[in-house]
Amino acid sequence: MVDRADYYEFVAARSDRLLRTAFMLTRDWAHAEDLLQEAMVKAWFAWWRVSGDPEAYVRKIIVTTYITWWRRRRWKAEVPAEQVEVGPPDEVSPDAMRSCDERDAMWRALGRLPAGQRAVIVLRFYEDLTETRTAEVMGCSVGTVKSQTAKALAKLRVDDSIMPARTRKEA
Amino acid sequence: MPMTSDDLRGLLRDEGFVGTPPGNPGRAGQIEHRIARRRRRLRGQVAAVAATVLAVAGLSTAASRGVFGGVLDGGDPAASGTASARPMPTVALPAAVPVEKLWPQAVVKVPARLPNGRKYYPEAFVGNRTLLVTTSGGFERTDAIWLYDTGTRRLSQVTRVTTPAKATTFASDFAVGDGRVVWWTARRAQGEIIAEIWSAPLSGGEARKIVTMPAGKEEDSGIGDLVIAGGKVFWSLSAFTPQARGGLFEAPLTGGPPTKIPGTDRHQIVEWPWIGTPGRNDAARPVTFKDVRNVVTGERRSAEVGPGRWTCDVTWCVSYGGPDTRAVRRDGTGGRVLPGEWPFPTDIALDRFLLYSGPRTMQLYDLRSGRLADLGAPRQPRSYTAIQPGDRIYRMDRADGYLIVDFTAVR
Repeated sequence: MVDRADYYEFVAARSDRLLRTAFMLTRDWAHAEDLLQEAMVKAWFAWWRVSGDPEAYVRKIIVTTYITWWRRRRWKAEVPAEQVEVGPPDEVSPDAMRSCDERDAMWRALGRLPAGQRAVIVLRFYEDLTETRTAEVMGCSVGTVKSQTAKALAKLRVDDSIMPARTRKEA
Repeated sequence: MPMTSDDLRGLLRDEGFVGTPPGNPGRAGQIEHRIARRRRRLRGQVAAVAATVLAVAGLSTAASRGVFGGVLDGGDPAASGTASARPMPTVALPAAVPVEKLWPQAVVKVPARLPNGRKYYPEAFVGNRTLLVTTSGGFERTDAIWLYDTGTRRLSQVTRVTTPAKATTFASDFAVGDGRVVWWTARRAQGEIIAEIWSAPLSGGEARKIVTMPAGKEEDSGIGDLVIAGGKVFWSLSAFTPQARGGLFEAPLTGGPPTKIPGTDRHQIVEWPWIGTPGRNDAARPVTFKDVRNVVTGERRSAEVGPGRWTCDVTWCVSYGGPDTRAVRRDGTGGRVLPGEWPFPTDIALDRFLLYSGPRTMQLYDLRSGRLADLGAPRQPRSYTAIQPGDRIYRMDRADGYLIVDFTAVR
Protein backbone atom coordinates (compact mmCIF):
# COMPACT_ATOMS: atom_id res chain seq x y z
CA MET A 1 0.00 0.00 0.00
CA VAL A 2 1.22 3.44 -0.86
CA ASP A 3 1.19 6.01 1.90
CA ARG A 4 -1.26 8.83 1.31
CA ALA A 5 1.43 11.32 2.24
CA ASP A 6 3.33 10.12 -0.80
CA TYR A 7 0.53 11.46 -2.92
CA TYR A 8 1.45 15.03 -2.17
CA GLU A 9 5.08 14.38 -2.94
CA PHE A 10 4.07 12.69 -6.15
CA VAL A 11 1.94 15.64 -7.22
CA ALA A 12 4.73 18.04 -6.43
CA ALA A 13 7.36 16.03 -8.23
CA ARG A 14 5.55 14.78 -11.30
CA SER A 15 2.86 17.27 -12.16
CA ASP A 16 4.90 19.37 -14.54
CA ARG A 17 6.07 16.43 -16.57
CA LEU A 18 2.65 14.83 -16.76
CA LEU A 19 1.14 18.17 -17.64
CA ARG A 20 3.44 18.35 -20.64
CA THR A 21 2.35 14.89 -21.71
CA ALA A 22 -1.26 15.96 -21.42
CA PHE A 23 -0.44 19.06 -23.43
CA MET A 24 1.15 17.01 -26.19
CA LEU A 25 -2.09 15.08 -26.42
CA THR A 26 -4.56 17.91 -26.11
CA ARG A 27 -2.50 20.73 -27.64
CA ASP A 28 -4.10 23.15 -25.23
CA TRP A 29 -2.84 24.02 -21.75
CA ALA A 30 -6.30 24.45 -20.36
CA HIS A 31 -7.45 21.05 -21.55
CA ALA A 32 -4.15 19.58 -20.45
CA GLU A 33 -4.73 20.85 -16.94
CA ASP A 34 -8.24 19.47 -16.93
CA LEU A 35 -6.92 16.15 -18.06
CA LEU A 36 -4.11 16.04 -15.53
CA GLN A 37 -6.37 17.06 -12.72
CA GLU A 38 -8.95 14.46 -13.55
CA ALA A 39 -6.21 11.86 -13.56
CA MET A 40 -4.79 13.13 -10.28
CA VAL A 41 -8.17 13.01 -8.61
CA LYS A 42 -8.69 9.45 -9.71
CA ALA A 43 -5.24 8.65 -8.42
CA TRP A 44 -6.03 10.26 -5.07
CA PHE A 45 -9.09 8.10 -4.61
CA ALA A 46 -7.27 4.99 -5.71
CA TRP A 47 -3.99 5.76 -3.99
CA TRP A 48 -4.17 2.97 -1.46
CA ARG A 49 -4.33 0.36 -4.18
CA VAL A 50 -1.83 1.90 -6.57
CA SER A 51 1.03 -0.51 -6.52
CA GLY A 52 4.26 -0.03 -8.35
CA ASP A 53 4.80 3.15 -10.29
CA PRO A 54 2.09 5.75 -9.66
CA GLU A 55 3.31 7.81 -12.60
CA ALA A 56 2.50 4.94 -14.92
CA TYR A 57 -0.91 4.70 -13.34
CA VAL A 58 -1.62 8.40 -13.83
CA ARG A 59 -0.19 8.37 -17.34
CA LYS A 60 -2.54 5.57 -18.27
CA ILE A 61 -5.51 7.50 -16.93
CA ILE A 62 -4.42 10.56 -18.88
CA VAL A 63 -4.24 8.66 -22.14
CA THR A 64 -7.45 6.71 -21.76
CA THR A 65 -9.35 9.76 -20.57
CA TYR A 66 -7.98 11.80 -23.43
CA ILE A 67 -9.14 9.24 -25.97
CA THR A 68 -12.56 9.02 -24.34
CA TRP A 69 -12.96 12.79 -24.34
CA TRP A 70 -11.82 13.03 -27.90
CA ARG A 71 -14.39 10.48 -28.97
CA ARG A 72 -17.06 12.55 -27.38
CA ARG A 73 -15.77 15.61 -29.26
CA ARG A 74 -15.78 17.27 -25.94
CA TRP A 75 -13.27 19.83 -26.95
CA LYS A 76 -15.16 21.99 -29.30
CA ALA A 77 -12.15 24.13 -30.01
CA GLU A 78 -10.34 21.16 -31.42
CA VAL A 79 -11.22 20.38 -34.98
CA PRO A 80 -11.58 16.66 -35.54
CA ALA A 81 -8.72 15.33 -37.59
CA GLU A 82 -10.85 14.27 -40.50
CA GLN A 83 -12.15 17.79 -40.95
CA VAL A 84 -8.76 19.39 -41.02
CA GLU A 85 -7.23 20.35 -44.29
CA VAL A 86 -5.65 17.20 -45.59
CA GLY A 87 -1.96 17.04 -46.21
CA PRO A 88 1.22 16.24 -44.38
CA PRO A 89 3.60 18.96 -43.32
CA ASP A 90 6.18 20.14 -45.74
CA GLU A 91 9.26 18.02 -45.71
CA VAL A 92 12.20 19.64 -44.02
CA SER A 93 15.73 18.63 -43.42
CA PRO A 94 16.69 17.34 -40.00
CA ASP A 95 19.05 20.23 -39.49
CA ALA A 96 16.35 22.71 -40.08
CA MET A 97 13.83 20.99 -37.85
CA ARG A 98 14.94 22.87 -34.81
CA SER A 99 13.74 26.15 -36.12
CA CYS A 100 10.50 27.54 -34.87
CA ASP A 101 8.79 27.21 -38.22
CA GLU A 102 9.61 23.58 -38.40
CA ARG A 103 8.57 22.93 -34.88
CA ASP A 104 5.32 24.57 -35.80
CA ALA A 105 5.02 22.34 -38.84
CA MET A 106 5.45 19.26 -36.70
CA TRP A 107 3.08 20.64 -34.13
CA ARG A 108 0.43 21.12 -36.77
CA ALA A 109 1.12 17.70 -38.20
CA LEU A 110 0.68 16.13 -34.79
CA GLY A 111 -2.59 17.97 -34.50
CA ARG A 112 -3.84 16.32 -37.66
CA LEU A 113 -3.37 12.86 -36.22
CA PRO A 114 -6.38 11.04 -34.82
CA ALA A 115 -6.38 10.63 -31.06
CA GLY A 116 -5.04 7.09 -30.98
CA GLN A 117 -2.16 7.79 -33.33
CA ARG A 118 -1.26 10.97 -31.50
CA ALA A 119 -1.24 9.07 -28.23
CA VAL A 120 1.03 6.41 -29.69
CA ILE A 121 3.48 9.03 -30.92
CA VAL A 122 3.51 10.82 -27.57
CA LEU A 123 4.02 7.62 -25.62
CA ARG A 124 6.63 6.14 -27.93
CA PHE A 125 8.65 9.21 -28.81
CA TYR A 126 7.98 11.72 -26.06
CA GLU A 127 7.55 9.43 -23.08
CA ASP A 128 10.01 7.04 -24.69
CA LEU A 129 8.04 3.93 -23.78
CA THR A 130 8.57 0.60 -25.42
CA GLU A 131 5.91 -0.85 -27.68
CA THR A 132 4.93 -3.23 -24.91
CA ARG A 133 4.55 -0.50 -22.32
CA THR A 134 2.69 1.68 -24.81
CA ALA A 135 0.27 -1.17 -25.45
CA GLU A 136 -0.28 -1.54 -21.71
CA VAL A 137 -0.98 2.14 -21.28
CA MET A 138 -3.39 2.24 -24.20
CA GLY A 139 -5.02 -1.04 -23.36
CA CYS A 140 -4.42 -2.52 -26.80
CA SER A 141 -2.18 -5.11 -28.40
CA VAL A 142 1.44 -4.58 -29.37
CA GLY A 143 0.37 -5.21 -32.96
CA THR A 144 -2.03 -2.29 -32.77
CA VAL A 145 0.70 -0.08 -31.38
CA LYS A 146 2.96 -1.07 -34.27
CA SER A 147 0.34 -0.41 -36.92
CA GLN A 148 -0.76 2.87 -35.37
CA THR A 149 2.85 3.99 -35.06
CA ALA A 150 3.55 3.17 -38.69
CA LYS A 151 0.49 5.07 -39.88
CA ALA A 152 1.30 8.06 -37.71
CA LEU A 153 4.94 8.19 -38.76
CA ALA A 154 3.90 8.03 -42.39
CA LYS A 155 1.66 11.03 -41.88
CA LEU A 156 4.42 12.85 -40.06
CA ARG A 157 6.84 11.92 -42.85
CA VAL A 158 9.15 10.21 -40.41
CA ASP A 159 10.97 7.25 -41.84
CA ASP A 160 11.30 4.74 -39.05
CA SER A 161 13.26 2.39 -41.27
CA ILE A 162 16.22 4.73 -41.32
CA MET A 163 16.84 4.24 -37.66
CA PRO A 164 14.45 1.82 -36.02
CA ALA A 165 13.34 2.69 -32.54
CA ARG A 166 15.68 1.31 -29.99
CA THR A 167 14.65 -1.25 -27.50
CA ARG A 168 14.55 0.65 -24.28
CA LYS A 169 14.34 -0.32 -20.75
CA GLU A 170 10.83 0.06 -19.49
CA ALA A 171 10.02 3.44 -18.09
CA MET B 1 14.80 13.97 -46.68
CA PRO B 2 12.48 12.47 -44.10
CA MET B 3 13.37 12.62 -40.43
CA THR B 4 14.37 9.59 -38.48
CA SER B 5 12.53 8.34 -35.44
CA ASP B 6 15.39 9.63 -33.32
CA ASP B 7 14.99 13.05 -34.92
CA LEU B 8 11.37 12.92 -33.96
CA ARG B 9 12.23 11.85 -30.43
CA GLY B 10 14.68 14.69 -30.10
CA LEU B 11 12.26 17.20 -31.50
CA LEU B 12 9.37 16.21 -29.25
CA ARG B 13 11.56 16.17 -26.18
CA ASP B 14 13.12 19.50 -26.96
CA GLU B 15 12.13 22.04 -24.30
CA GLY B 16 11.11 24.49 -26.95
CA PHE B 17 8.69 22.15 -28.63
CA VAL B 18 6.11 22.05 -25.90
CA GLY B 19 7.05 25.32 -24.28
CA THR B 20 6.23 26.34 -20.76
CA PRO B 21 2.87 25.96 -19.11
CA PRO B 22 1.22 29.28 -18.39
CA GLY B 23 2.16 29.10 -14.75
CA ASN B 24 1.31 32.65 -13.91
CA PRO B 25 -0.53 33.60 -10.77
CA GLY B 26 -3.75 33.68 -12.67
CA ARG B 27 -3.61 30.08 -13.55
CA ALA B 28 -5.50 28.73 -10.62
CA GLY B 29 -8.23 31.19 -11.28
CA GLN B 30 -8.41 30.23 -14.90
CA ILE B 31 -8.70 26.65 -13.93
CA GLU B 32 -11.53 27.30 -11.56
CA HIS B 33 -13.16 29.22 -14.32
CA ARG B 34 -13.09 26.16 -16.46
CA ILE B 35 -14.47 24.24 -13.60
CA ALA B 36 -17.46 26.45 -13.48
CA ARG B 37 -18.08 25.85 -17.13
CA ARG B 38 -17.57 22.19 -16.76
CA ARG B 39 -19.91 22.06 -13.85
CA ARG B 40 -22.51 23.65 -15.99
CA ARG B 41 -21.95 21.82 -19.14
CA LEU B 42 -21.34 18.46 -17.59
CA ARG B 43 -23.67 18.77 -14.70
CA GLY B 44 -25.31 15.49 -14.04
CA GLN B 45 -22.49 13.78 -15.74
CA VAL B 46 -20.15 11.61 -13.99
CA ALA B 47 -18.74 12.61 -11.07
CA ALA B 48 -15.26 11.91 -11.42
CA VAL B 49 -15.60 15.06 -13.38
CA ALA B 50 -17.17 16.79 -10.46
CA ALA B 51 -14.45 15.40 -8.27
CA THR B 52 -12.06 17.08 -10.58
CA VAL B 53 -13.94 20.21 -9.98
CA LEU B 54 -13.04 20.06 -6.39
CA ALA B 55 -9.54 18.95 -6.92
CA VAL B 56 -8.50 21.45 -9.41
CA ALA B 57 -7.44 24.43 -7.47
CA GLY B 58 -5.24 22.48 -5.14
CA LEU B 59 -3.63 20.59 -7.92
CA SER B 60 -3.20 23.56 -10.13
CA THR B 61 -1.30 25.15 -7.34
CA ALA B 62 0.75 22.05 -7.11
CA ALA B 63 1.40 22.01 -10.79
CA SER B 64 2.39 25.61 -11.03
CA ARG B 65 4.33 25.94 -7.81
CA GLY B 66 5.34 22.38 -7.27
CA VAL B 67 3.53 22.10 -4.00
CA PHE B 68 0.07 22.30 -2.58
CA GLY B 69 -1.22 25.55 -1.23
CA GLY B 70 0.02 27.30 1.84
CA VAL B 71 -1.52 24.97 4.33
CA LEU B 72 0.51 22.11 3.08
CA ASP B 73 3.38 24.34 2.25
CA GLY B 74 4.15 24.46 5.88
CA GLY B 75 2.38 27.73 6.23
CA ASP B 76 2.03 27.89 9.97
CA PRO B 77 -1.28 29.42 10.92
CA ALA B 78 0.15 30.40 14.28
CA ALA B 79 2.70 32.60 12.57
CA SER B 80 0.31 34.84 10.77
CA GLY B 81 -0.95 36.83 13.69
CA THR B 82 -4.46 36.89 12.35
CA ALA B 83 -7.46 36.06 14.41
CA SER B 84 -7.85 32.71 12.78
CA ALA B 85 -4.22 31.92 13.51
CA ARG B 86 -5.22 30.99 17.00
CA PRO B 87 -4.74 27.29 17.50
CA MET B 88 -7.77 25.50 16.21
CA PRO B 89 -9.13 22.45 17.94
CA THR B 90 -9.66 19.37 15.90
CA VAL B 91 -13.32 18.60 16.27
CA ALA B 92 -14.54 15.09 16.77
CA LEU B 93 -17.01 14.48 14.02
CA PRO B 94 -20.24 12.94 15.23
CA ALA B 95 -21.34 9.65 13.75
CA ALA B 96 -22.90 10.30 10.37
CA VAL B 97 -26.67 9.92 10.43
CA PRO B 98 -28.56 9.08 7.24
CA VAL B 99 -29.74 12.38 5.88
CA GLU B 100 -33.32 11.13 5.60
CA LYS B 101 -33.37 10.65 9.36
CA LEU B 102 -31.38 13.71 10.32
CA TRP B 103 -33.27 16.22 8.17
CA PRO B 104 -36.44 14.41 7.05
CA GLN B 105 -38.23 17.62 6.18
CA ALA B 106 -35.44 18.59 3.79
CA VAL B 107 -35.03 15.37 1.84
CA VAL B 108 -36.85 14.12 -1.22
CA LYS B 109 -36.12 10.86 -2.97
CA VAL B 110 -37.21 10.44 -6.56
CA PRO B 111 -36.70 7.80 -9.25
CA ALA B 112 -33.91 8.22 -11.73
CA ARG B 113 -36.38 8.68 -14.57
CA LEU B 114 -39.40 10.91 -15.04
CA PRO B 115 -42.89 9.47 -15.45
CA ASN B 116 -42.39 9.87 -19.20
CA GLY B 117 -39.36 7.60 -19.00
CA ARG B 118 -36.76 10.27 -19.64
CA LYS B 119 -33.61 10.86 -17.68
CA TYR B 120 -33.49 14.24 -16.03
CA TYR B 121 -31.54 16.54 -13.80
CA PRO B 122 -33.05 18.25 -10.73
CA GLU B 123 -32.32 21.98 -10.80
CA ALA B 124 -34.29 23.65 -8.03
CA PHE B 125 -37.26 23.39 -5.72
CA VAL B 126 -40.33 25.38 -6.67
CA GLY B 127 -42.40 25.12 -3.54
CA ASN B 128 -42.14 22.33 -1.02
CA ARG B 129 -42.23 19.20 -3.06
CA THR B 130 -42.15 20.40 -6.65
CA LEU B 131 -38.89 20.24 -8.51
CA LEU B 132 -37.79 22.18 -11.52
CA VAL B 133 -35.98 19.64 -13.67
CA THR B 134 -34.34 19.64 -17.06
CA THR B 135 -34.02 16.97 -19.70
CA SER B 136 -31.32 16.72 -22.31
CA GLY B 137 -31.62 16.02 -25.99
CA GLY B 138 -28.01 14.98 -26.19
CA PHE B 139 -24.75 15.20 -24.38
CA GLU B 140 -24.98 18.20 -22.05
CA ARG B 141 -27.68 19.81 -24.16
CA THR B 142 -30.84 20.76 -22.30
CA ASP B 143 -33.92 20.50 -24.47
CA ALA B 144 -36.76 21.17 -22.03
CA ILE B 145 -37.63 22.39 -18.56
CA TRP B 146 -40.30 20.65 -16.49
CA LEU B 147 -42.08 20.92 -13.17
CA TYR B 148 -42.14 17.60 -11.37
CA ASP B 149 -44.44 17.18 -8.40
CA THR B 150 -42.54 14.65 -6.33
CA GLY B 151 -45.63 13.89 -4.25
CA THR B 152 -48.11 13.11 -7.00
CA ARG B 153 -45.41 12.32 -9.60
CA ARG B 154 -47.20 14.68 -11.95
CA LEU B 155 -45.08 16.21 -14.69
CA SER B 156 -45.73 19.34 -16.72
CA GLN B 157 -43.54 21.01 -19.28
CA VAL B 158 -42.52 24.59 -18.54
CA THR B 159 -40.87 25.32 -21.86
CA ARG B 160 -38.64 24.00 -24.55
CA VAL B 161 -35.02 25.09 -24.57
CA THR B 162 -33.23 25.84 -27.78
CA THR B 163 -29.49 25.89 -28.21
CA PRO B 164 -28.15 28.77 -30.29
CA ALA B 165 -25.98 28.08 -33.31
CA LYS B 166 -22.25 28.14 -32.52
CA ALA B 167 -23.04 27.64 -28.85
CA THR B 168 -20.05 27.62 -26.55
CA THR B 169 -22.06 26.99 -23.39
CA PHE B 170 -25.38 25.21 -23.39
CA ALA B 171 -28.27 26.25 -21.16
CA SER B 172 -26.86 26.66 -17.65
CA ASP B 173 -27.58 27.92 -14.15
CA PHE B 174 -31.35 27.60 -14.00
CA ALA B 175 -32.70 30.00 -11.38
CA VAL B 176 -36.28 30.50 -10.26
CA GLY B 177 -38.13 33.42 -8.72
CA ASP B 178 -41.07 35.73 -9.27
CA GLY B 179 -42.94 32.98 -11.09
CA ARG B 180 -40.28 32.59 -13.73
CA VAL B 181 -37.23 30.52 -14.56
CA VAL B 182 -34.13 32.03 -16.11
CA TRP B 183 -31.00 30.50 -17.57
CA TRP B 184 -28.23 31.50 -19.92
CA THR B 185 -26.42 30.30 -22.98
CA ALA B 186 -23.34 31.54 -24.81
CA ARG B 187 -22.34 31.52 -28.43
CA ARG B 188 -19.41 32.66 -30.48
CA ALA B 189 -19.89 35.57 -32.86
CA GLN B 190 -17.10 37.44 -34.63
CA GLY B 191 -14.46 36.44 -32.16
CA GLU B 192 -16.54 37.33 -29.12
CA ILE B 193 -18.52 35.16 -26.77
CA ILE B 194 -22.05 36.49 -26.55
CA ALA B 195 -23.97 35.54 -23.43
CA GLU B 196 -27.74 35.45 -23.56
CA ILE B 197 -30.18 35.19 -20.69
CA TRP B 198 -33.52 33.50 -21.29
CA SER B 199 -36.72 33.54 -19.31
CA ALA B 200 -39.93 31.51 -19.26
CA PRO B 201 -43.00 31.57 -17.01
CA LEU B 202 -43.20 28.66 -14.56
CA SER B 203 -46.86 28.39 -15.48
CA GLY B 204 -45.72 27.32 -18.92
CA GLY B 205 -45.01 29.21 -22.09
CA GLU B 206 -42.41 30.08 -24.62
CA ALA B 207 -38.87 30.98 -23.63
CA ARG B 208 -37.84 34.51 -24.41
CA LYS B 209 -34.39 36.02 -24.66
CA ILE B 210 -34.23 38.90 -22.19
CA VAL B 211 -30.55 39.92 -22.20
CA THR B 212 -27.75 39.80 -24.74
CA MET B 213 -24.26 40.96 -23.86
CA PRO B 214 -20.63 40.28 -24.79
CA ALA B 215 -18.95 38.20 -22.09
CA GLY B 216 -15.34 37.92 -23.23
CA LYS B 217 -13.27 36.25 -25.87
CA GLU B 218 -12.34 32.95 -24.25
CA GLU B 219 -14.13 29.80 -25.28
CA ASP B 220 -15.62 29.39 -21.82
CA SER B 221 -16.49 33.02 -21.19
CA GLY B 222 -19.98 33.48 -19.91
CA ILE B 223 -22.07 34.23 -16.91
CA GLY B 224 -20.82 33.27 -13.47
CA ASP B 225 -24.03 33.28 -11.53
CA LEU B 226 -27.62 34.22 -12.03
CA VAL B 227 -30.40 35.12 -9.58
CA ILE B 228 -33.89 36.56 -9.72
CA ALA B 229 -34.80 39.16 -7.12
CA GLY B 230 -37.41 41.89 -6.98
CA GLY B 231 -38.51 41.67 -10.58
CA LYS B 232 -34.97 41.79 -11.86
CA VAL B 233 -32.32 39.36 -12.91
CA PHE B 234 -28.81 39.85 -11.52
CA TRP B 235 -25.64 38.21 -12.73
CA SER B 236 -21.89 38.47 -12.85
CA LEU B 237 -19.42 37.34 -15.48
CA SER B 238 -17.70 34.02 -15.08
CA ALA B 239 -14.23 35.43 -15.60
CA PHE B 240 -12.53 38.72 -15.90
CA THR B 241 -9.17 40.08 -16.86
CA PRO B 242 -7.48 43.40 -16.25
CA GLN B 243 -9.18 44.58 -19.40
CA ALA B 244 -12.59 43.20 -18.57
CA ARG B 245 -13.26 43.68 -14.92
CA GLY B 246 -16.55 41.89 -14.75
CA GLY B 247 -18.95 43.24 -12.20
CA LEU B 248 -22.52 42.81 -11.14
CA PHE B 249 -25.15 43.43 -13.79
CA GLU B 250 -28.90 43.71 -13.68
CA ALA B 251 -31.81 43.83 -16.09
CA PRO B 252 -35.58 43.79 -15.73
CA LEU B 253 -37.01 40.31 -15.73
CA THR B 254 -39.21 41.44 -18.57
CA GLY B 255 -36.13 42.12 -20.65
CA GLY B 256 -33.98 45.09 -21.41
CA PRO B 257 -30.43 46.31 -21.70
CA PRO B 258 -28.01 45.16 -18.99
CA THR B 259 -26.89 47.74 -16.45
CA LYS B 260 -23.69 47.42 -14.51
CA ILE B 261 -24.05 48.26 -10.83
CA PRO B 262 -21.40 50.88 -9.98
CA GLY B 263 -18.50 49.86 -7.78
CA THR B 264 -18.84 46.15 -8.43
CA ASP B 265 -15.74 45.53 -10.53
CA ARG B 266 -14.38 42.03 -10.03
CA HIS B 267 -17.31 41.03 -7.82
CA GLN B 268 -19.36 37.91 -8.10
CA ILE B 269 -22.49 36.77 -6.31
CA VAL B 270 -21.81 34.88 -3.09
CA GLU B 271 -25.26 34.35 -1.60
CA TRP B 272 -27.77 36.89 -2.80
CA PRO B 273 -27.86 39.77 -1.84
CA TRP B 274 -24.20 39.37 -0.88
CA ILE B 275 -21.53 39.84 -3.51
CA GLY B 276 -17.83 39.38 -3.00
CA THR B 277 -14.33 39.79 -4.29
CA PRO B 278 -11.93 38.36 -5.30
CA GLY B 279 -14.25 36.04 -7.13
CA ARG B 280 -13.97 32.39 -7.84
CA ASN B 281 -12.08 33.09 -11.02
CA ASP B 282 -9.99 36.00 -9.92
CA ALA B 283 -6.28 35.59 -10.28
CA ALA B 284 -5.62 37.84 -7.33
CA ARG B 285 -6.93 35.65 -4.60
CA PRO B 286 -5.64 33.20 -2.14
CA VAL B 287 -8.91 33.88 -0.30
CA THR B 288 -12.00 33.64 -2.47
CA PHE B 289 -14.60 36.20 -1.42
CA LYS B 290 -12.34 37.71 1.21
CA ASP B 291 -14.44 40.86 1.06
CA VAL B 292 -18.20 40.74 0.78
CA ARG B 293 -20.90 43.33 0.77
CA ASN B 294 -24.64 43.31 0.90
CA VAL B 295 -26.02 45.14 -2.13
CA VAL B 296 -29.30 45.84 -0.35
CA THR B 297 -28.05 47.13 3.02
CA GLY B 298 -24.54 48.17 2.04
CA GLU B 299 -23.02 46.18 4.93
CA ARG B 300 -19.43 45.13 4.31
CA ARG B 301 -17.43 42.29 5.84
CA SER B 302 -13.86 41.14 5.44
CA ALA B 303 -12.19 37.89 6.40
CA GLU B 304 -9.24 37.42 8.71
CA VAL B 305 -7.89 34.04 7.86
CA GLY B 306 -4.47 32.50 8.13
CA PRO B 307 -2.13 31.65 5.28
CA GLY B 308 -3.04 29.14 2.66
CA ARG B 309 -5.95 28.99 0.30
CA TRP B 310 -9.41 29.68 1.57
CA THR B 311 -12.86 30.06 0.20
CA CYS B 312 -15.38 32.13 2.11
CA ASP B 313 -19.12 32.50 2.20
CA VAL B 314 -20.99 35.29 3.98
CA THR B 315 -19.98 34.13 7.46
CA TRP B 316 -17.71 31.12 7.14
CA CYS B 317 -14.37 30.44 5.50
CA VAL B 318 -12.89 27.04 4.73
CA SER B 319 -9.29 26.22 3.92
CA TYR B 320 -8.34 23.80 1.21
CA GLY B 321 -5.36 22.42 -0.55
CA GLY B 322 -3.85 20.84 2.52
CA PRO B 323 -4.10 17.54 4.29
CA ASP B 324 -6.87 18.80 6.51
CA THR B 325 -9.77 21.19 6.22
CA ARG B 326 -10.08 24.18 8.52
CA ALA B 327 -13.20 26.19 9.03
CA VAL B 328 -13.43 29.56 10.73
CA ARG B 329 -15.80 32.48 10.78
CA ARG B 330 -14.75 35.67 9.05
CA ASP B 331 -14.12 37.33 12.39
CA GLY B 332 -11.78 34.55 13.44
CA THR B 333 -14.15 32.81 15.82
CA GLY B 334 -15.43 29.27 15.73
CA GLY B 335 -12.22 27.93 14.22
CA ARG B 336 -11.92 24.20 13.93
CA VAL B 337 -9.94 21.57 12.13
CA LEU B 338 -12.11 18.98 10.48
CA PRO B 339 -10.57 15.56 10.67
CA GLY B 340 -9.91 13.47 7.63
CA GLU B 341 -8.07 14.11 4.44
CA TRP B 342 -9.86 16.20 1.94
CA PRO B 343 -7.26 17.92 -0.17
CA PHE B 344 -9.68 19.43 -2.62
CA PRO B 345 -11.11 22.90 -2.33
CA THR B 346 -14.71 22.91 -1.37
CA ASP B 347 -17.24 25.66 -1.43
CA ILE B 348 -19.75 26.26 1.31
CA ALA B 349 -23.41 25.99 0.42
CA LEU B 350 -25.84 28.40 1.99
CA ASP B 351 -23.08 29.53 4.35
CA ARG B 352 -23.23 26.33 6.38
CA PHE B 353 -22.90 23.06 4.46
CA LEU B 354 -19.68 21.39 3.42
CA LEU B 355 -19.34 18.32 1.29
CA TYR B 356 -17.41 15.61 3.00
CA SER B 357 -16.16 12.21 1.98
CA GLY B 358 -16.87 9.22 4.15
CA PRO B 359 -15.25 5.84 3.70
CA ARG B 360 -17.67 4.85 0.98
CA THR B 361 -20.35 7.46 1.07
CA MET B 362 -20.63 11.19 0.69
CA GLN B 363 -21.59 13.33 3.63
CA LEU B 364 -22.71 16.85 4.42
CA TYR B 365 -21.19 18.63 7.37
CA ASP B 366 -23.30 21.36 8.91
CA LEU B 367 -21.03 24.11 10.21
CA ARG B 368 -23.88 25.60 12.21
CA SER B 369 -24.89 22.51 14.18
CA GLY B 370 -21.77 20.38 13.82
CA ARG B 371 -23.92 17.52 12.56
CA LEU B 372 -22.87 15.10 9.87
CA ALA B 373 -25.43 13.78 7.41
CA ASP B 374 -24.77 10.69 5.39
CA LEU B 375 -25.91 10.95 1.79
CA GLY B 376 -25.29 7.33 0.90
CA ALA B 377 -23.13 5.95 -1.83
CA PRO B 378 -23.09 7.53 -5.25
CA ARG B 379 -24.34 5.42 -8.13
CA GLN B 380 -20.90 5.58 -9.62
CA PRO B 381 -18.19 5.07 -7.04
CA ARG B 382 -16.07 8.06 -6.21
CA SER B 383 -18.40 10.34 -8.08
CA TYR B 384 -20.45 13.19 -6.83
CA THR B 385 -21.62 16.66 -7.63
CA ALA B 386 -19.72 19.60 -6.24
CA ILE B 387 -21.41 22.35 -4.30
CA GLN B 388 -21.05 26.09 -4.61
CA PRO B 389 -22.19 29.07 -2.56
CA GLY B 390 -25.43 29.83 -4.37
CA ASP B 391 -26.70 26.26 -4.24
CA ARG B 392 -30.05 25.74 -2.61
CA ILE B 393 -30.14 22.00 -3.12
CA TYR B 394 -27.77 19.08 -3.23
CA ARG B 395 -28.59 16.22 -5.50
CA MET B 396 -27.07 12.83 -5.02
CA ASP B 397 -27.26 10.40 -7.88
CA ARG B 398 -27.68 7.06 -6.11
CA ALA B 399 -28.43 3.57 -7.32
CA ASP B 400 -32.01 3.97 -6.09
CA GLY B 401 -32.58 7.32 -7.81
CA TYR B 402 -31.93 10.89 -6.81
CA LEU B 403 -31.71 11.93 -3.22
CA ILE B 404 -32.25 15.66 -3.04
CA VAL B 405 -31.52 17.80 -0.02
CA ASP B 406 -33.24 21.16 0.21
CA PHE B 407 -30.67 23.19 2.11
CA THR B 408 -33.21 25.88 2.86
CA ALA B 409 -35.40 23.38 4.71
CA VAL B 410 -32.72 22.15 7.11
CA ARG B 411 -33.55 23.39 10.58
